[in-house]
Amino acid sequence: MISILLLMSVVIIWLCCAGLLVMRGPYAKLHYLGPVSSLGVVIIAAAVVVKHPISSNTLQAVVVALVLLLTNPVLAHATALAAQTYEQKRSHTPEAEGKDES
Amino acid sequence: MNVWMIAAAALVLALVPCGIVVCRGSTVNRLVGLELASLVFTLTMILLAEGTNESFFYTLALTNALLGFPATLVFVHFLRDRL
Repeated sequence: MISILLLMSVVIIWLCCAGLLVMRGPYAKLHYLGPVSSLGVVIIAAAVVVKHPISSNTLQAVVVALVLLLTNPVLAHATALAAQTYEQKRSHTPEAEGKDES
Repeated sequence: MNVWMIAAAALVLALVPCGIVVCRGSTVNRLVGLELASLVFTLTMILLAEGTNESFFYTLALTNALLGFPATLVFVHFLRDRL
């Protein structure tokens, strides 16, 4: 059971890393953070719970999983917003607009 | 060598594509690569904690999870307002 859970999480994480490498543009790449921070983390925490049903290790793994589950969607949203603002600033520079500054 | 250590080794290898993205491309692409690398590192620490039965790896994982959030927000702030 633990082996199956770990294999699932490793496959999900590997697919997301491959997607991050292959996809073009930050908005497409950002999508591949989601499965890792939700599915991957939960499956690994579940494997820890299966190994130690009630222990301090389980509590720590669950806390880490909760922190990642709660913070990564916020980070992805903030990164997308920053990417949009960054692109808008770069597209409005004088060099980008071809203005003559002399 | 147990199944946890094998999974941890596999996740360490998964850091290679993240590192390639961090080294190439635009600034925002690199930031996204860094975010995924941080996630993978945290999960690797959890697997190492179970594989070695050393609880301090959980401290590392929790610290990275908690500090990665404001650290990434600092980069986001600089991308939005300073660059």
